[in-house]
Amino acid sequence: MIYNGLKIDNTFAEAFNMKASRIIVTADNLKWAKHACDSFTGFATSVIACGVESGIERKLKKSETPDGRPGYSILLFSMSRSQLEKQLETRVGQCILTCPTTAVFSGIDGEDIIPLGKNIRYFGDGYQISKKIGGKRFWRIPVMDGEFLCEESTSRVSAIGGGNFLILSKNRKSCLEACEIAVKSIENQLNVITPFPGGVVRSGSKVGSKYKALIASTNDAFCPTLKSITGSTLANDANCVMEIVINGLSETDISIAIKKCIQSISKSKIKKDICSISAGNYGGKLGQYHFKLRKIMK
Amino acid sequence: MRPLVLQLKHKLSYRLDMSFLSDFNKLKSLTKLKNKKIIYGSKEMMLKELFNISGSNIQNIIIKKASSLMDNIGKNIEDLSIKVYGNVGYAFGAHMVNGELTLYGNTLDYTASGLKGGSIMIFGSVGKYFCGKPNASNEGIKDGLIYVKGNVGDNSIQRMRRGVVVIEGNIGDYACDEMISGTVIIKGIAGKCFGKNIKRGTLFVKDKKLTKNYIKSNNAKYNFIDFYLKTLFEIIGKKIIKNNSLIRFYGNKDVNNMSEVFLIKN
Repeated sequence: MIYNGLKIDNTFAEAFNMKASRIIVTADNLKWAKHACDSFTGFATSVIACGVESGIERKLKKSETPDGRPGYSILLFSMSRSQLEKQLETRVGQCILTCPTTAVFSGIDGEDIIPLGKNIRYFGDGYQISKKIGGKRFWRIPVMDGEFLCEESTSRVSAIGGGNFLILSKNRKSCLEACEIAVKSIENQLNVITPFPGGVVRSGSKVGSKYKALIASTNDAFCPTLKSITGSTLANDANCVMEIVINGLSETDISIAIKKCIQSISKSKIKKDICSISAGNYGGKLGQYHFKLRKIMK
Repeated sequence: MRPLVLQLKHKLSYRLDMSFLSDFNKLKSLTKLKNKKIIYGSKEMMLKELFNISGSNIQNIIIKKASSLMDNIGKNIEDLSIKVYGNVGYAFGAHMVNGELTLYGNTLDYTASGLKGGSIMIFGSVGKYFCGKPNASNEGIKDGLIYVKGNVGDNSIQRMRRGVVVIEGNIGDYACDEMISGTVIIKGIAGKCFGKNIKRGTLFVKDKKLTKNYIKSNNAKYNFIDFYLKTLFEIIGKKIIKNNSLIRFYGNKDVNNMSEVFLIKN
């Protein structure tokens, strides 16, 4: 299939059931809200070793936040409830509580409640103050710059992790440029995040390894340097492959994001260097969701 | 669906216990509601004999031309919205669990006593023992939001556990007695013995004499103020206090407590 001059391979991305939550981080200005969010979402690229996958969902205007200050919304994805709870509390405690002027609120409603500031309040050593308004409880924890305000709990919802597509390009420069264009096109899209650095993965993985201790290893089928010695599926002119991984709250959110990304590449001048758009899967047996690229781009 | 409107057919001669409103959620048909038996004076009567009833939305009730002989309006209600036009009697919104109560008139004593949740908006004045402690309980209101546009009587807000009370007018003697926690905003003048044996909680007051036992705090930034006042504005629909006009007092000199007072400057 050729979409607006861009070759779309007949393949699909394989994605998994995950658990997700959203928090809202505000601060006196965007600079400090960003510092807190960058810290919070650091080392949260893949559940393989990080516990959660997390990223900034979008920038929020003053009118969109609970306390009328600028901020960001963050999405977190995990394979289990316990891991999500643990990582959320640890990261709020170490990255947001510590960051000057910040406050943290729940950004999602659901029936499954998980703690947000419920245990972090004990940092207040008895001087913490509870406030309940509008059916929600908040904690005021005295800190050295004044007070840290956090909502007691947030919610957990079902979500999907691992939606992806691969950009196969003639060279690394154009591949990276195409990735940047794609990631920028969804940077403020609701309900999705791209958890990897800059939204891009260069070390796509396959399940398993020749080394027993490893559960994942390099995706040799897409490594251009191994083209001549492995059963590579890469075309002759494809010399660089990069992956954009998209986690979202629903199948539709991920499909829309993939479509937007590919559309944005197809509209750019860089498309002349792109060999094709492909996707990562494990043969369709592991993941519960299949995002068929050609169906999405129809 | 149009809201259910109740309007008295005749002027009341005896007190009428309106706590039957909390049963409306359980009634499945309008006919059952109209035929619901209530006690009036020494007689048992059907609801339709006492009220003109129109509309069909049982969840959304309007009481027109209410009387100060009507007691217990909104008592124990859950997930109901009730608007009342006219003065009402005792125990308005007492023990309310959830829902919305709006009153365009005045109430008598025991208003919002033992409140457990929901919101009560009173565009009038309130009698004694407002937000009081029910006889069988050690705690006063446990949650919810109450707004009073007018004045409030004596012995109000006793042993408040949680929730928000906003009073635009004055409050009588012995208010906020043994307050455990929660937030109270009083924009008028308070009577004698205010906040006796208060333990915790947050008070926003305009009456400077109420801060005399407190220690003036520094000018640190309180993130919660912006948030709290914004949320209150969204719920009440009116800016109660300007957040740049507050001086904080923390810790009472007389008793070892952790209550805080924000003095509202003009």
